[in-house]
Amino acid sequence: MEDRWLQRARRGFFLAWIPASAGLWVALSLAGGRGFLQSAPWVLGLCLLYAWLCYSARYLCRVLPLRRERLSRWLLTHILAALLVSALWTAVAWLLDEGWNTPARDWLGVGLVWFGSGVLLYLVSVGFHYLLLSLEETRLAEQAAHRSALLQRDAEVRALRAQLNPHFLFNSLTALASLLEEDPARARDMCILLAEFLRSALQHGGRAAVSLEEEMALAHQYLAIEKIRFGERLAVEEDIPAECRAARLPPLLLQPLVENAIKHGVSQLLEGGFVKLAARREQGGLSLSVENRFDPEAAPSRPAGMGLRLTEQRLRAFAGDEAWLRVTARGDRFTSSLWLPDTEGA
Amino acid sequence: MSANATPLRVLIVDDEEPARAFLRRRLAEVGGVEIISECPNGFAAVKAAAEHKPDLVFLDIQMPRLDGFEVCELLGPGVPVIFVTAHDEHALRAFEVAAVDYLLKPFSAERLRKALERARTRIGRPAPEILSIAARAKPGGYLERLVVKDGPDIVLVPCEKIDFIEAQQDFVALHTQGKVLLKNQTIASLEAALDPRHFVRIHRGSIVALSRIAQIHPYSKDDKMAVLKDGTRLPVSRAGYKKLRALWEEGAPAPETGG
Repeated sequence: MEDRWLQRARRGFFLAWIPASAGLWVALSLAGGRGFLQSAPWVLGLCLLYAWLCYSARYLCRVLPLRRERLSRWLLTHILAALLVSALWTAVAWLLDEGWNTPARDWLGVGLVWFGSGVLLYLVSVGFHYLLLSLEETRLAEQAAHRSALLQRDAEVRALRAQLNPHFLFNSLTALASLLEEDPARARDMCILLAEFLRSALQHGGRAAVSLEEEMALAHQYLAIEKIRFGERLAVEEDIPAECRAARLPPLLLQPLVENAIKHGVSQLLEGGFVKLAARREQGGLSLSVENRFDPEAAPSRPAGMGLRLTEQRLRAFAGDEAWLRVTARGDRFTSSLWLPDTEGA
Repeated sequence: MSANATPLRVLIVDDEEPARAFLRRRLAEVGGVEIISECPNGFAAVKAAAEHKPDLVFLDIQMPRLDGFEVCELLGPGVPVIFVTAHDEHALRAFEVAAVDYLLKPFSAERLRKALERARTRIGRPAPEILSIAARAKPGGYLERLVVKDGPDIVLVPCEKIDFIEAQQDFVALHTQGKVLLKNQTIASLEAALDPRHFVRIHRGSIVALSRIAQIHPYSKDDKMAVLKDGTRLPVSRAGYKKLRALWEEGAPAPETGG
């Protein structure tokens, strides 16, 4: 993709040499020297050589970016390069023209045309390269922005799909079907919980930021549903001070951590376990942790979740590279903790 | 139709009470079934199965400690199993361990009736041959632990704790850190289920954990002798030695080779 764009620019550059060499051809004929038709092949040949030389100026332009504070050095370098390359070109023209056979004064006019047009063409090429380089830069910046937007959207879609984890959904429906017969009032409550949870998950997914309070409400709905499935086996603890509730965070950030805590915690424990959610204001930001009991012997290899990495990416995309997420397993406690700096009304 | 047949004696195994209640009610609806026990986990299920000898077991797959496939393995091929799960990701494995049926929660009474009919045709016939316990592993993977019945207890043996395995008629003896556990299994099916990068069948009658080999000595013209870190000596056949060499050439740490 990038290559094709560059190829097109390069083709344009070389095509522009056709009118340039035609002009030179006319100028040279007027300045004397060889006959009009006779000179065509060597003018064309020399222009080809020079086109290539001027194209190589691209590399010089790349190492010498245009900056105000170094303008004089920049000017000097390019003017020197123009004089040098053009002199070289004129010398080659002189050799090919067998200049030693021509009296110096007769060749002077021709030589001046070569040299002058050489300097001019070189400088024009330099201008072209700078234009190309700056276009390239903008294009790359656009691509990077596009990529990060895609990443963001991807994260949202995946986070949303994680909510519709088939196990969660089908197990909840089974519990619902069973409650319908045993306890219609609780079945109705569960229907409402499920609807509220799915609705808020969908709504959150479409937003740029939510408050911790909103994210906690979602977690409550989720945990209330899981509590119906697991019954006494699931205990929920919470320590969210009031001053943390307004903090902003990316939507559905906490949710996958809570879900993990259930999946690798209580659902793997014969005698049940707890999930503890805690928040603190710390170091100009917000600390959050999700802690759960787990069975260290339950799963020999706990795959370091794709989901966790995604959560970390989303956290950083939202709050910058200072933000972090880490998981620790100590004894039978598993903790996911994260910190993000305060953001202004995001 | 099911009214004049003898009721099927079934066991329900699921860690979620609402799911057990759901199945209980559907079974009552369909009829012809006697629930002899409900178990909230795999350990209780293995114990109840040994005690009550059910005709059929309804088995959830995602459960704490022992998953449905491990329970199925411990029950042995003689006990017909219907898997009951929320998601169809395990369907292929369920087929490979010769389950009677595979029900997706929540299911209709009609679907349950079909599963029960299928179970009735299975009961009394010889148990189908289970392809291999390798089927229990996730597709493309190997077993991470073995489940063994040790008297009344169920022992979970993580594969990294296994030193070597010896064939003993219809059983295999798992040697783990000085302890020996017997498992009702053929050595060939176990070989297929273990990760070949860590476990090598060095002889017709033995599999060894590569990391436990301390030395290899020449023994006879064709055979060699492996000395393990705990001093155990195991014969190595020519084919077994070839496999070991191939692993060492791939970069596995090689022990001393005497002579």
